[in-house]
Amino acid sequence: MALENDQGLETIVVKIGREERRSSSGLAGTFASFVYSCNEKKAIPGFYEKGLIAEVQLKEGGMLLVLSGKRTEGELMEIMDIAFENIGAFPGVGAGAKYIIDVKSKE
Amino acid sequence: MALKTSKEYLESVKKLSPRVYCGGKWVKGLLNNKITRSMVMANAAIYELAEDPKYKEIMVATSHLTGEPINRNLNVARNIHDLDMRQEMALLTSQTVGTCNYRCVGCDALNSLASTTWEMDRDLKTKYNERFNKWLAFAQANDLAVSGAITDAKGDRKKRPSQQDEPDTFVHLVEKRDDGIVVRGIKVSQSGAIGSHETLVLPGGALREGEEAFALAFAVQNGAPGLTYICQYNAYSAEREFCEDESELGTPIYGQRETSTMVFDNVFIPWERVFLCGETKFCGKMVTRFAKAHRMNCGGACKVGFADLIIGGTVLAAEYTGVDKVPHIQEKIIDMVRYSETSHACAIAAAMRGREEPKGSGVFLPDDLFGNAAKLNIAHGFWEIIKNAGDIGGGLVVTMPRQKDLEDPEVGPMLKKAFAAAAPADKRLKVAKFLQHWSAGLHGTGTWHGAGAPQTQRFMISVLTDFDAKKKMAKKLMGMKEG
Repeated sequence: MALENDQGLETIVVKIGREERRSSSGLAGTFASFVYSCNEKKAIPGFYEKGLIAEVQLKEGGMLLVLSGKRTEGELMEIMDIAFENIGAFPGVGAGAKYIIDVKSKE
Repeated sequence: MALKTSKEYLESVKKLSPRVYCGGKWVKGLLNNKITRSMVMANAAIYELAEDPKYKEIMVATSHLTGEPINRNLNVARNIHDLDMRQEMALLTSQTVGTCNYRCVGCDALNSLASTTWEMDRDLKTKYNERFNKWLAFAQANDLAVSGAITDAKGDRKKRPSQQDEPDTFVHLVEKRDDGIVVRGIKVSQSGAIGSHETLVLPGGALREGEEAFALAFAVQNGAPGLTYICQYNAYSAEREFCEDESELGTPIYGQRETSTMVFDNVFIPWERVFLCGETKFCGKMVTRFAKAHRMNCGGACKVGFADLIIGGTVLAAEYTGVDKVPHIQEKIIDMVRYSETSHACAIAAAMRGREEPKGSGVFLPDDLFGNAAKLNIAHGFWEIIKNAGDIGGGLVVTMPRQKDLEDPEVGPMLKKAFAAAAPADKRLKVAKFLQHWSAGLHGTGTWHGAGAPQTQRFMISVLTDFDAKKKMAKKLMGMKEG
């Protein structure tokens, strides 16, 4: 995991298509929580139906997340909004490490 | 943002989707279920108190980390005044919602963590306090609702945690990773985690060498994958769930105290939220310091706020029945006040005799003896208080028909005739229902066990009392020689 800043915060940016859509600020370790959820629990925080995640690829400084089904960009954004609120990351930019989650719909 | 408004809290809850099971079904939206909504509305009322200038001294403190105004529920007590205002907050919140301030256990847990992690860093050269302070600054900046989970399921009480046939009866470590830990196990009787942004989890008791896997303290986010909340369910839950009109209930908006069983099924906790991992030697201190704070607040203030409500309802019942001037009724009401105010006096004394613990930490904790006396006194006194409420409220408290039946064209007139006394029937039934909630509900046993069953206070009082000194002063006055 990247080094945290003095306040112990980190920023997670959601990218859908070519645009960076939302920045969330959370305590350092929030991105690690999200990654664990996707990789080990096969779940998006706050969502309990099985099969929502189609693919996860960890990349330098972030991840690619592909969600199952055909979803609009608005729907993808809504899912990510709920996911972050449920693991304690709120809209805003923290001064610490920055991670980018590239979110796509499978179809 | 340093202080969240009640409205902002409710908006934030709409985005939370914890895995909650209540009365046979999964809850879809905490505000859509009548039972979980009552818990959330109580929390919202606590946020609202902090917005009211009248209560600023009690509800708002100054962060020792940032100097910013913060909700007192996230404050680390740094002096006697902080301790006094903390217990006043417990009184005020109980008087306001008639149920838990669901941020209360979290507040006492974070004070224990502030004290104990400081000591661990000093003695073990760990970085827990630094980590805890970052978490706390984040919680304060976002004015998070933080609850606390202490009591493990515990299994067979004859056996230690590591000897249990079912290891999940205690929350324990499954895996240590580079980025965090994975935990599993069960915490029970947890108040209000479902509607909190985070929950502080502490060890349930002192641990020994060899029990390192159970030595854990951490903060977990509300919707952490793998975490399931199973709500309590009882006659009052069913009544709320199936009633046509919640205004008919004993406490219409905020309800009874809502607890859940928290099941951790391999939940990931990043290191930044871990405040103790394996240091068994400090578990006893962590739990004792939590209990020290909580017995002052829960025993000597929170339940006193409940008692104030019960006394108010009982006096109304006496007036409405026309017995308020009867000497033995007045005597019983005075007894109710005596039980209640004695406990509050102990809480005030616990705050006033509070001290920095450990020295140099800057964290103030209440006096242990007075805190335990407060809790033990109210554990017994509360039964007397609800007994007198039932006595003065009369059999009507448990034999009353529905309030709504008064409106029935056929039986309504009969009921109005039957139950009108010195006040109309609707007022008498309203008060009787209120007293039913308190005297025939969950609060007697809840008060007995909350902040630890009385046997734990008896044990602490036996440890904290200097009986030798008392024997010595008695002997001296009697003129009895030493030896």
